[in-house]
Amino acid sequence: MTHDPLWITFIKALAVCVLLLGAFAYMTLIERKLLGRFQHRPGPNMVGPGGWLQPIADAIKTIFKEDLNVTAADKFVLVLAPAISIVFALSAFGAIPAGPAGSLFGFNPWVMDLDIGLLYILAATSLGVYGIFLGGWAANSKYALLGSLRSSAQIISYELGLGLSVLAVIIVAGTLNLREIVELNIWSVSPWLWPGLLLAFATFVISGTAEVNRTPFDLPEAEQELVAGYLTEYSSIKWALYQMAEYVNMLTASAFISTLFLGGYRGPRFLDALIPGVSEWPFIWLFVKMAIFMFMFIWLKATLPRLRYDQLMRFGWIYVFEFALAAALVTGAVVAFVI
Amino acid sequence: MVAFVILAALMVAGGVGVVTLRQPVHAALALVGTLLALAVTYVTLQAHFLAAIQVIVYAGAIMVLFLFVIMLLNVSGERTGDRLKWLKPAAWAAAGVTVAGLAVVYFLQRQPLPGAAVVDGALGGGGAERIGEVLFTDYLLAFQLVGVLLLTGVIAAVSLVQRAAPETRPQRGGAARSAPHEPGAASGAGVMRDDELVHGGH
Amino acid sequence: MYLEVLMMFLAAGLIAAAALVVGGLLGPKKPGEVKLSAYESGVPAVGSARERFPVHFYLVAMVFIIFDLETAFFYPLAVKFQAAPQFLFANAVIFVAILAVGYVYLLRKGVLNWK
Repeated sequence: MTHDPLWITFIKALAVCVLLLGAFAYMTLIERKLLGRFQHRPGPNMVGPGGWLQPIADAIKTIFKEDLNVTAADKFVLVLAPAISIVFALSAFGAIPAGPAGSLFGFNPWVMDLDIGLLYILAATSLGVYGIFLGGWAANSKYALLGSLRSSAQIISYELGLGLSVLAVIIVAGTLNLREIVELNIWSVSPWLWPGLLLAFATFVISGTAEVNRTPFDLPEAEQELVAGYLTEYSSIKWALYQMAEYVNMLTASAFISTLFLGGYRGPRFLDALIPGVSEWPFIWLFVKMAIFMFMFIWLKATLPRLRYDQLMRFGWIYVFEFALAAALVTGAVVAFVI
Repeated sequence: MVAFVILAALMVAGGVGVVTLRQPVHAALALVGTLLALAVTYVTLQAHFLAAIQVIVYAGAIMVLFLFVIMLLNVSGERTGDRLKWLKPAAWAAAGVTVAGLAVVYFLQRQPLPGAAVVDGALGGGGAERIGEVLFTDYLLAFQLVGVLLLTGVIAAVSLVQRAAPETRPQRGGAARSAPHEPGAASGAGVMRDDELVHGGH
Repeated sequence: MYLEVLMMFLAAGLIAAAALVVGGLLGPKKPGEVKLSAYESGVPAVGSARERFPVHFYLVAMVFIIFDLETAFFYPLAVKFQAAPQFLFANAVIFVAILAVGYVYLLRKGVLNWK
């Protein structure tokens, strides 16, 4: 296992951050355009050709907005909280491998290759809860505080589902290194494992959706009840940082799901018969898989109504928790007694 | 070594912050900083798995509980109850005893540190494999006892809230109104009061 | 190897700091008393937001810690699982069974059932 020089790593880290933020900007546009299509209206189409300059207009507008700091707020924490959110959101993505070793002009197409990469992503995303909690607390506003408290309880509840769902994958792969998990291809081990893995996949996708606060789990944005939840008192760039964190977390969730369950950066092997080596091409396969899940997130948003808070908590603690644990146990039983 | 000095300084600073900051949420944040610095220290000692678990469990779960408890009690910065007067001298005494104990161990029980090779052998790269090996052979009974301990924790958490429920209810407005409906039931103690809390303000 | 993590956090921190500084410098500054008061549906804010909160959140956090720890113990087990699958599976089942008692207790007490 070779590692790149540190300055290369730093450049890659910066590149990942910039790419993620670019992806964030255009995801907001794609989301609005798609939601428009879902609802039989054009969506944003005025700024630039076909509306494709909308994110740039949005960015300029946000930067030049007045940055309000509510009088009653705790200034230091008010600034710290969105920074925490975005830093952990961006950093989590660095552990995702985007191609085989050395496929990025001789360098490795990932920022870090950790022996416990899977746990690293879980840990980094679990710290994102501080951004939401502290943001709501610092504003010293009732809606913000209630929103942040709800969101934090939601995030920690579904973190359990997330943590338990990955167990099935770890049992099959026997490693916490994401690259090794991709290289192994968990589905090829035995068809007997498929039921357990499918169940784990389902609970993981559901928990992931809840973790990134997307519909039908977007309680923080339940504007009828909470105005804008923890975002109520945020404006300008600090508000934008939270939006970035949300979309970056979506991107990370998509990449994480793809990496754990769908072969990550590897393409389907049968395509190698058509174009030799195509399944080894870096970036493209991860990108395609992430795009599928991003589309799924938007589709869900266009289709499903929001859960009520009690339904959300019950769903997480009773169904997701039990099924995720069952997936791990079924997979373990198959490994122990069938194969 | 340089890394250790920096991290140790961060941890001590965090610890001092926990004790001296007046605002409980700030103190909790200082504690989060300390715990994260500790996790990084684990990484410098090649205990990667432990570092990840440290972050997930301590920073990601236990400190969130701390923050929830601060919210629950709503301890504001300035209120220092007379009931806790004994705490300050007791804390100093406990700190003194701890330092004395450490000094005694340091000066009387000096043992050479194991060499780097020994430590690396024991850690086996610092991943989860070695911990799994040891945990499920030498410490199997302890592992199962942890399960019992956690079970105790579940029951303790519920019974704590149940008994404390009547006192910890918010004293004002909407929350107290619905209190008598479910005496004793844990679910009655804290179900979604936030709507009422909001409207109670108007 | 873990310096790579440091690099990642440096880069992310740099981006966040740059965004905050640029946003702070470029935005207009016209503060006003009403503008800077907490939002409460258009009426003046009543009281402080530093209220006491439902105990149920505490309970959820507490139960979360316990099951999070359970998961933490499962990671090494899952990694080493294939070394002795049947033995480890039996141990996992015992461990889960012990905690299942607690889980059923929580269900019966209605802790996991928000209303």
